[in-house]
Amino acid sequence: MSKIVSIHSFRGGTGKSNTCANLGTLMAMQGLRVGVVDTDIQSPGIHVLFGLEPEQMKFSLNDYLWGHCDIEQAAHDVTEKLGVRGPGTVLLIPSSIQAGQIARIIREGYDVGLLNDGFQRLIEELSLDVLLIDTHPGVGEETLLSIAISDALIIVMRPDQQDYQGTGVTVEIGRKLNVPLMTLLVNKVPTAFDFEEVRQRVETTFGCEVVAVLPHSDEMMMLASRGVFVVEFPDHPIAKSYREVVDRLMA
Amino acid sequence: MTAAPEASFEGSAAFERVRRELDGWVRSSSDRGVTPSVLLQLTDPLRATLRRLMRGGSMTFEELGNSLDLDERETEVIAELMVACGLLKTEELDRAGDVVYRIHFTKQHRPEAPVGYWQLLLEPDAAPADDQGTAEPDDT
Repeated sequence: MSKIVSIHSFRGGTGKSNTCANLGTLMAMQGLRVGVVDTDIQSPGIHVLFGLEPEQMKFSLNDYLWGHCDIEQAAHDVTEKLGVRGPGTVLLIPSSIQAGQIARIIREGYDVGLLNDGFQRLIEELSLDVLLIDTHPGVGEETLLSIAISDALIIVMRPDQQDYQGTGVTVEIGRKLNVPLMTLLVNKVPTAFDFEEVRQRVETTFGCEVVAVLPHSDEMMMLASRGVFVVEFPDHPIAKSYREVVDRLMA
Repeated sequence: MTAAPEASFEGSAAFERVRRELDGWVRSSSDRGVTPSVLLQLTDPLRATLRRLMRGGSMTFEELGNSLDLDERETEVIAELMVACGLLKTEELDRAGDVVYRIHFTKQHRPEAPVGYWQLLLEPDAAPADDQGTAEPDDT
């Protein structure tokens, strides 16, 4: 049975897309067929992490939503670009990075039912083990849809007062929608903090499992989205934490 | 908008609860479909049923009844009501008339924004419009 996992954050800049790219890559390294959908239509970016150039996007999620192609035609195999060897695969469905196309979809809207059908079709046609959905920050229709259909939801947050309030909103929505597995990932934590204390405080505040507390990382900053962290730094403690997150999701 | 069917039919407590919620929904909604935010406006078992429909795509009449915990007659009334108020739509499976139920999604509403803003983004070479009014009313 395929799993749908949504990676969400209430605010931008939390490291949501980075988390999504790293988890997807690790899953592929374990031999799984992984689909990654960028539903952050208004501010797409995960394609950069996977090394997919805009001119290489023959079709995007936008094209599918406008009826220009089938959803599987918008899937780009980025496994080789990642340098992942083995039977696993990462198939990326990017959103368009062209300003006019972003503006059009915001202005005209799109058929949310079509997006939902697309998720199901991706799983079936591409024989996916896992579908990862990189959502748009905040609470929008596509985010609600993603959360509603997910088997697991990872809410990414920083130890920041603005993130705390927003995360509470997302947790409440996740509960209302009965997501089977809802976890928090605390990201970019200053190394001066006591990580165990952060974990306990967040778990107590939201009554929700914290799946990982990840430190702010100079290596991650210096990588600057030019690649996927777990590929570039496989022995780094952050890579180990990401592996534990994958184990938790796939348990 | 069609009137609630079989308003006089009396069923189980579960049925009455669902019908009351749908009656309220009928008054406040259009019959042109819903977006996923409908999940936050309804309560279980309607919400859980719509969530299952989003994940699974469709339900047969029997599956719909099981999900709402209703008997056949009650399911008939509630299914008709859900279609009438734009929550669900039916799709014929075959010529025998067997149907499945799907969520009746509507196109996502577009935000209100100044016309000039969109013109500039959609036609980058165009001069900014003088008109700073809002976008024309949503036709969805």
